[in-house]
Amino acid sequence: MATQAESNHIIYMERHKEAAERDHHGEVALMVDGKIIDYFTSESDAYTTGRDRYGLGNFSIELVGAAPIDLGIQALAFI
Amino acid sequence: MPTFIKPAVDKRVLIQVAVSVARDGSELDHRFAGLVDTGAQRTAITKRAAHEIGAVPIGRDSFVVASGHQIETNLYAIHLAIPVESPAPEGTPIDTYALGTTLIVFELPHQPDYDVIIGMDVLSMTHISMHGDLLVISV
Repeated sequence: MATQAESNHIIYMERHKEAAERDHHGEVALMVDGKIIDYFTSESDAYTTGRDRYGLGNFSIELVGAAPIDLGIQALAFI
Repeated sequence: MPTFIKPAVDKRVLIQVAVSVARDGSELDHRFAGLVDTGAQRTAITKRAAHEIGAVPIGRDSFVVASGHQIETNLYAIHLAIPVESPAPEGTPIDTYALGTTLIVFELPHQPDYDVIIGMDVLSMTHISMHGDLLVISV
């Protein structure tokens, strides 16, 4: 069974990404059951709101328009 | 200013960090080897460590590795504490930690000898310097 993080991310990429990046670039989206509940200016605010309102495992966040992070040469990959 | 000194071994600095989901003191029950890595933009933890502390994924995002490949992985929210006093002999458990902040971190693929990459999101909150093979972290 997919987690909220997994299922919400798929829905975000398919349905919300374009509009979110146009209107809320750099913000953090709080998602529950495939729907964007709100946007926040910080990751910690989005996380805290999601945790307090919905409980861990029942929400996810999306970093709107964030470029892939560089974890450095020490981060070994499977590929 | 509390300070922690750690020698580099084979040109790497591994320090013991304490990690938990909530900022409730339980992080001291979960200590992991952390690689100090100024080349990493953000902190990351292995899936094994996330599982051990009971973290659940709170999102998905991508990171790039040295090969240039992008990898999509889980995000977790954790509380991470770093030591602020130098341990007396090497290997002695560390009992004094600086309370950090809640971090959104990436899930790492398995790493051979550490569970946490301590990236610039954490290091930029400290004063760090290298003197010879000694890393000095002041919080």
